[in-house]
Formats: sequence, structure tokens, C-alpha cells
Amino acid sequence: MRATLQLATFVGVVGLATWALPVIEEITQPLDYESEVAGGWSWRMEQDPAEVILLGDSILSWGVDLEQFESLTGRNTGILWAGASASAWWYLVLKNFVAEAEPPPGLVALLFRDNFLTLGSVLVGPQAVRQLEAVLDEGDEQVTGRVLKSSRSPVFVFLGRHWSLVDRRSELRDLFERSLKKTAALVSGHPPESADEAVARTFDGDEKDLAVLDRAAGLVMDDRLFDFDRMLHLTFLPDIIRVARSSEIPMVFVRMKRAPRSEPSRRAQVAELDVYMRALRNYLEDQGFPLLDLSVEDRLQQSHYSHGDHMNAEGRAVFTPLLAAALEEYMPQLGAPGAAPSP
Amino acid sequence: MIFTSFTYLIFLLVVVVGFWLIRKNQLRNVFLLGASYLFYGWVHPWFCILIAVSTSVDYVCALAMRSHPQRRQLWLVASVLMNLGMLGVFKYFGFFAESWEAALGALGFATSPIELRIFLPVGISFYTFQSLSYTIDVYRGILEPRRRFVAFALFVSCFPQLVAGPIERARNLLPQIETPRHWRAEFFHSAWPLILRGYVKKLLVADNVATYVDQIFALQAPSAPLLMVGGFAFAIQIYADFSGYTDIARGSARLLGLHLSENFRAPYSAISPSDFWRRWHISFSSWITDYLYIPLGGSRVRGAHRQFGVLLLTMGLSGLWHGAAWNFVIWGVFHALLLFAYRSLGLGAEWRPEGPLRRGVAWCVMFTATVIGWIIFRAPSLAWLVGVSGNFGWEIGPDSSLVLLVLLLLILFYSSPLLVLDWLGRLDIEKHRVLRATLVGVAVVALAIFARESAQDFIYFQF
Repeated sequence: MRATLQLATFVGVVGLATWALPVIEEITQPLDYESEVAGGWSWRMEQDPAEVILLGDSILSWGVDLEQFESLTGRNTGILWAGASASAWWYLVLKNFVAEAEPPPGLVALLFRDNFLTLGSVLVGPQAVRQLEAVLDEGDEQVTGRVLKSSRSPVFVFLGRHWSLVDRRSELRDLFERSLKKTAALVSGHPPESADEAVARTFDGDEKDLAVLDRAAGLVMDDRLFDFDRMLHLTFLPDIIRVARSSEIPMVFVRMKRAPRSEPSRRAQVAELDVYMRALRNYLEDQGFPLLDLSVEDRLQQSHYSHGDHMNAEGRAVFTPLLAAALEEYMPQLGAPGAAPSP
Repeated sequence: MIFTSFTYLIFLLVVVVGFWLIRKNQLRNVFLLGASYLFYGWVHPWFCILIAVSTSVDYVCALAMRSHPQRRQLWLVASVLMNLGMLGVFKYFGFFAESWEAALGALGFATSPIELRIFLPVGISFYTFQSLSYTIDVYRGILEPRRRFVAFALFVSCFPQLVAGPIERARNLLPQIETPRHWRAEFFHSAWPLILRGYVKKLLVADNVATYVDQIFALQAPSAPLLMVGGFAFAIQIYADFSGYTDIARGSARLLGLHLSENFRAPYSAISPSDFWRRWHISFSSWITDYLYIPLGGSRVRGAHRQFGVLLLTMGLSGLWHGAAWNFVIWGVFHALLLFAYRSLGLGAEWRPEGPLRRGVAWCVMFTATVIGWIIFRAPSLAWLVGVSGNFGWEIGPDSSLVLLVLLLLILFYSSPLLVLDWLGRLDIEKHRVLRATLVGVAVVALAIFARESAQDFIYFQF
């Protein structure tokens, strides 16, 4: 009897939390995920055919002013991006959206940072699944499987699929932490939303030793993730190349510049990244695809970034012409500016 | 293999079932020895060679002490040299080489860098000390050397306590290994609360608080208040991390019918340094007391200078045991100074201030000293520590007060399970079963929401 009562209490507590927590109003609001992570994949390709497509992650969406880019190049341009995306998402979007577009674009530029071209996904667990599911087509299920295989926590992936509490855990955690920050701000007589900015000002300063932080926080990637040959076959760069080649879409790979205070030279694993980049360059050359390295661009300064590697308006005003100029030599393959690209 | 991985849970389940399915104790020990080597060599199989060498040498040395009593000192020296030699090569070679080069450089001598890239085997400090205590006890005549190699090898490598302790004494663990055990439901009932408590401490408290600790200690010039918050947070992190590991270790061992020693007894309620060391990492501090401090003379040494010298040597080496870096040595020296200062004031191990106010003040002073010690311990490097010490800024701007409050609230929120666990420890939980079931439910829900997907390694793995 006692054991039954204990079991019932335990199940009751877990059941109540599972039912009650994920339906808290703030959590059922449109998620940051939808705007920040899902990004711009749902851009209407059919209604607005593009001559040039820029494909990438959030640093692309923060770094390029579309109107300015179009006016500089004279090309109708589409931006396809998802926050924290990497090779799996780029491959699926390229295959299921870009290669299917009619007429097809005349140029695709894939903008990436560091070793992201050979990462399956930056996200892990349920978030990675959700991001990929948004762009999956029939027969693509194995892509999710391959990405999740390299995920750090298959347990959370499994639990997230079958337990709503785990599925919404990042939003729930955010809610708790936001509430605490608001409380701190109110108690100390500050506006409720000022806590994040104050914390960012303290910890985002130039004095931060990123290499120490990376190592201390366990953020340093496993060295194996910089082993180009190993990662190439585990991830989706070869698939991207295959789709680009089979659909005859001209493609350019563009390495983005990270904010100077977080640039690789200040981080751990500088040497590993150098070796990796040489291998990537050789591979793309062998495959006949150009690699433009804008990571060494001096005109982009720290003041051009708003947070992390995301640029502010000034940064966009500097970077957009740089990108337009860098892609210029690949534009002549397109028809006259403004005309639909030839198939 | 780490305790927080799914692989470990599967491994533990298979080992526990397999262990109890075997009837004969000797076969069980062979099975458990194999499982322990699998556990230890999971990522780097060559680690097993080291532990096998250490085990074999100590096994032979102990038997030789008995068969050649007139040469037992020689065999003890052989055992000590082998164990400390292994530690010296695998853990301290790089540190001593760098320090030597730096010292020569400072004296104006040109040196060529000595490069020897050696991977530190996990848990080497723990099992070498455990194995060493066996040969020393045999030398002292406190313990009979064991003829059964498997039982001794299992004592050295038994997987729950292999990589981060508790550092067991042979006279506690060996008889348990040698005695046939029969499955009792009590093993399970006492094991799962320990394991759950360990996961709560590690995944809920330590890993979440670590985020703020890492951010603060990554700043090159944190203000003094921010640094104290960082030290406070690290005090919570390291306690939750290490005692969480110990809880999981003890729980796992209970499932195998083994009883491992307690390693922590509310360390932050200490009111003096001696009190702290009776509560913190008990198996290590008692090892150091028995095999280093007392043989050096201990508290019987006459003269303040000599007493200080003994404390300095003992605590300095204790610091070095934790890691091959100068900040660990300084941390040990800092505790030696604390111990000496308290003793000089007549506040020894038995000191108990009268009245709540005095006790409160004594606690505040000791806790603050402990936090300062943890700042030294957690410092990313000696250069950082020197830079920060010479550059304290006490001013609190409008931003800083808000940031400090945010950090304190977040740290207190994530460390609140420790308070609940402490409160539960003082309750007779068997009388409050519904309360226990409720709290277990809350713990599971909290783990589902707040446990990080990529658990950090246990801090003491690096030692």
C-alpha cells in the first residue's frame, strides 16, 4: 500500500509538471526558435524567382542588407538562412528548394564560418530535429538520422521526441532564467529588460580571454571535428557538391569573418583550424568550386558587430558591398541584370 | 566512461545483473575486475597497462615484504618509487620541465624547450595513492599481504571509485571484496537515492553553476566583488561536482554489495581549517594525515617554525596532488597558513566557539577564507592570479550591482537543490515517504528541464 502511494505520488508530480509546464502562456507564444533558428527558409521561391541565392546561418541574415545587395549587383536575390545551421540544413535546402526552383538561380553563394561546412548540425537534440524537419522532403529521413548520430546526447533526442517537458526544455529554462533576471532588475531599480544587456556588457568586453573560456566551458570542439577527411564523409559537403553539380547550379563558397574579438586567432584550436582550412581549400579546388575567404577582411572591425558574430547596421553597410564585389566575377555567367537566369 | 553518460547506466545495469547471476565469489571478482578494466580503458585502452603495472608491482612488493622481512624497507622503497615515479612521469613531468626552464630563463641561461607530450591518465593520482596505502600498511604490519591477485587487483581498480575516489584503505575494502556476498533488496534501496542525489548535484547544480564560474574566470580583469561571486559559485560547483561523483560511486558500489567510505560531511559548515579538512575530501585528507603528516611528526613536532614547516610541506604537496600547476601549490600553502594561524591562536581541531553569534562569526571567517582558497584553486593560470591580485578594483558601478545580483540569484537558484538535500539529510526520510516520492518526482522533472545536454567532465577527473 505504501509503495503504491509513493508510486502514485511520483507519477502524479511528474504528470502534473508534464501537463502544466509546457502550456505556460509565455512558452506557447511563437518561439524565438521560429524567428531565430528556423530563419528564412520559407522564402517564396516560386513567387519570387531569384538570380542569386545567398545560403547560410544567422551571421548571413545579420550581415547582408538585401536591398543594398540587389541594388549593387542588379540581381534579384534571395537569402535562405537558419540560425545555428550547418551542412545538413544547407544540403536539404539546396536540394529541396533551390535545385527545385523554376527557373533555377544563376548563382548560389554558401556563406559559412570556420569548420561549419563539415559539421552535421550546430544544434543538438530536439532542436536539431525540428530544424531539419522543417526542410525535409520524402526520402530525407536518413539525413536526420545521420545528424543525430553525431549528436552529443541521443538520450535527450529520444526523450525529447516522447516527453513534451524535455522537448520544451530550452524554452522552460529560458523562462525561469528570464524571471530571475527580471526580479534582479526590479529589485535593484533597473528596467526589467536591462539585465541581459548589463550581463552582456560585463562578459562581452574585449578583455575576455576566449581561449580560456572555451576550454573552461567545454566549448572547445572535439579535435576530431577539425579532421577534414574524417568529417567530410560524416557530413554533407559532398552531398552539397553533388546536388550543385547535378542541377548545374554555379556555386561559390564564402568564408565569413567572425567578430574580431571572437576570431579564431584568439580562440583555442587555432592550429587545428589552419590545417582544416588548407584541406577544405584543396578539396573545393579539386571539385572545381571556388572558395572566397572574407575572414581576413580588414575593413570589418569589432565596432561593426552587435553581438557575437552578428553584424550591426554599420557592419552590414560595410560587408554587403564587400560581398557584392567578391561575387562580381561570378555574376557574368548570369544574363543581363534583372533578367531571369538562363537554365 | 563517465558516470553521467547513458553508456554508463547501461554498463552498470549489465555489470550488476551479471555480478549477481554468478554464484562463486572468486568468479564474481574476476568478472568485476574485467568490468573495471573495461570501464577504465573505455576511451584509452592503454590506460589499463599502467594500472596493471602499478597493481602487479605493489602485489609483488607486499608479498616480498612478508617473505623477506629483513628487506621489507627495500620493497617499500621499490613500491613508493614505482608509484611516485609513475605520477612524476605522467602527471608532473611537463610541469617540472616548464618550471625548470622558466627558472633557468630567469637566471639568464638559454634553454631549449623539453617537449614530451604525455596524456594524463584519468584517476592516476587516486589509484596510485590507494595502492600505495596497501604496501605501506603491509610494511607497518597493520595488514596481511594478499595472495589472491584478483582480489587485490579489484581493490585497486574497482570501477565505482577508480577514477575519483573515495581513496579506500585496503583494510576497509579488501575484506568486503574477499567475503562472499548475497543479494539483498537493501542494496538497491540504499543505492538508488545515492545515485539520484549524485545526478542532481552534478547535472542540476554543478554543471549549471559552472557556466557562470567559467564566464567570470575567463575575464582578464574581474572586479573584486565579481571575483568573490565567482569564488562563491566555484565553491558550490566543486562541492556539488565532487560530492555528486562520490554519491554516484557509493550508490554504484552499493548495488554490488560494497560499502565505500564517506568523502564529505557538510564541509561548508566548518568553523576552522582543521574542521574543514575533517569534512572535505575525507578519504584524501585522512590519507595525507596518516601517510605524510604524522610520519613527519604531525602535531607532536616542537617549535613553531618546525610545525609550520611540516604543515607547509604537507599542504603544499596536497595542493600539488590536485594538479601540476603552481596555483594548486599556492592553494595548499594558503591552507597551511590558515591552519598555522588558527593553531597559533589556540583555535585547534577541538575548538568550538560558544554562543550562536561567535559561531556565526567563526563560520563567516572560515567560509570567506575557503572561497578565497577556491579562487586561487580555480585561477586559469598563475599569471592570471598575479595579475588579478595586483589589480583589485572594488568600485561597483550601476551595471555591476545589477550583474552581481543577477549572478547571485541564478547561482542560488541552481544551487537550491543542495539546501533541499541538506535538509533531507537531517530528516528521518523513512517516516516521510510521500514527501520523498514528491521530491523524487520534482528531481526528475528538474533534471528533464535543467540538466545540460553535454555534461561537463567531473572536475576531479583531471587530478
